[in-house]
Amino acid sequence: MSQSSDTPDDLTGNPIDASGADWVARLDRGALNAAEAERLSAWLAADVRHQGALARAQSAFAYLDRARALGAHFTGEAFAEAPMWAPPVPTALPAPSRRALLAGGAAVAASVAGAAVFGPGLYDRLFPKTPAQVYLSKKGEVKLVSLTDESTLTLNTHSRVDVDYTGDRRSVELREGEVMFSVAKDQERPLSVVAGDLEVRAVGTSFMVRNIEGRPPEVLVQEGMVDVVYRTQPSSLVRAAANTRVTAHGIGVGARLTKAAVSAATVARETAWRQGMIAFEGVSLATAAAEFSRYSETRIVIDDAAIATTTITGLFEADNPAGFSHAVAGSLGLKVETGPGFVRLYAE
Amino acid sequence: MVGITQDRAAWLARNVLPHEAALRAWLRQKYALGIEVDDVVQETYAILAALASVDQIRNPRSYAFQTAHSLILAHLRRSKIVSIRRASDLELQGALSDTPSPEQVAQDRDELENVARVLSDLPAKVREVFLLRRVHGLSQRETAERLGISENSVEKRVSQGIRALLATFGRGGKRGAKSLEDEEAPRRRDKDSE
Repeated sequence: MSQSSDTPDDLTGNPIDASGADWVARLDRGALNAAEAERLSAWLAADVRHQGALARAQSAFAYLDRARALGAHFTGEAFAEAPMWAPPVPTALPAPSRRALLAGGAAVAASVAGAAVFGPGLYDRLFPKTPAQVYLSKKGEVKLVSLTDESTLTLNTHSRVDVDYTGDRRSVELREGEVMFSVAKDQERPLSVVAGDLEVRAVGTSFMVRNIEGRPPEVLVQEGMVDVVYRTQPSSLVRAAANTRVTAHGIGVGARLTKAAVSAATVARETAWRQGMIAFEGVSLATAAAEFSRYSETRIVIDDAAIATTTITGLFEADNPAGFSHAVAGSLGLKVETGPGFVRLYAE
Repeated sequence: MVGITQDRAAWLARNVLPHEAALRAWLRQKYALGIEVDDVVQETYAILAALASVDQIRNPRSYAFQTAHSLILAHLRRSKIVSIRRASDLELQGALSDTPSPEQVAQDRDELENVARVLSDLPAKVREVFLLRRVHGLSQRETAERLGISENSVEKRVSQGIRALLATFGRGGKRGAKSLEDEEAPRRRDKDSE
């Protein structure tokens, strides 16, 4: 690939490509009005190259779908001195999870296809006394749920939440898994999230709650302020601001909450799953393998203790343990054996 | 349905866009055949966008090259001046190596870093819009409010950013300051002003 800039095709100057970019920018802004929709249809129908230019511009815009994984602290400045991540893995994410987690950015598709006709909002209006609405994500799936008050929940792999908005408060129970909450502000109706013995109360903020078997329940606050309390001990209440982690220790009477400040980068890393990614910074391969097992049925097997304790850093696709293993093998000089339901990492 | 689905756009972004520079380089060698490279690239995207499913495509790079190849063949069939020698210029072999180059492997590996680099290389005014819109996930309206500029300006900068990205991919993902620097200046085709 060694083109000079004086090549025959002017890459920026093609008027059709420029129009394609204009339309994608317009579609990204919001729904077209009738006249615009007609104009776009006519433009597309006029020439097959127009259709291609629109698709090409849409794919260039979609290339940045992953930009959210860079995290809010990314400024785009002085990037050369500070490379962000070690080897990501080159393979495609499956359609469903991407579709779900990109729902927010899917303005292009949604604005054209029209709004969803049937959602929890309509359901709630038709059946106001409905019991809790249940949302589930399968293994390997990341699911975005929009609630009637414009709050959103992003469910990580293998999670379940029960949402009950019928009372005077907005109640959510995280039965299992990991969920990122982005809470619409409503002073009158605070939102409470119950996860095991923990309860989180928020007015309008964003935070993650974890309730995974075998690990202490945890709250990670990304934005705003939340109260976290042990339900059996009202005196245990702690108030946590952005970039704070609250962890529950022990159970019953001796239970307590600890609060610790974390960096914005840590929050970004631990919520990378929202983009279908897992981020590791200096974690052992054994830990990484355990983390991947939450997302995929394919196990990463490491028999060699020396390999298992080797630490790695990087951003990886959550549903691709094989790709992860190959990337690790490539950089650590290991071999990969692939079998039914497992990938084995070993030294020669 | 106008345009393509988010899924297809994402597929193209991952599987075709990174090979576009190589495709253009190959097409350029066929320039003597009277091919407009931009036309063929656009038509190739149109075909890939219109496919009912891409699930069966194991090697998108080859598929894109083959699509372009068949477009050129159709073009040659239509034009009456094609000689046998000219048709034989259109060897697809060699353009299609199934093993990606070491550069390609390196490029794919650093994909998120590439996203970061592409964003960093955008002109400042375009970049601030893209950071809010694509990294922070704000809507165009929210982006406009945050920056204190009109929604029209945001939309225009999004378009400029997309053009810059397209130029970068057409060039092979390399840093292309040359064509991006002048984005700040008013473009001759822009009708509305900021």
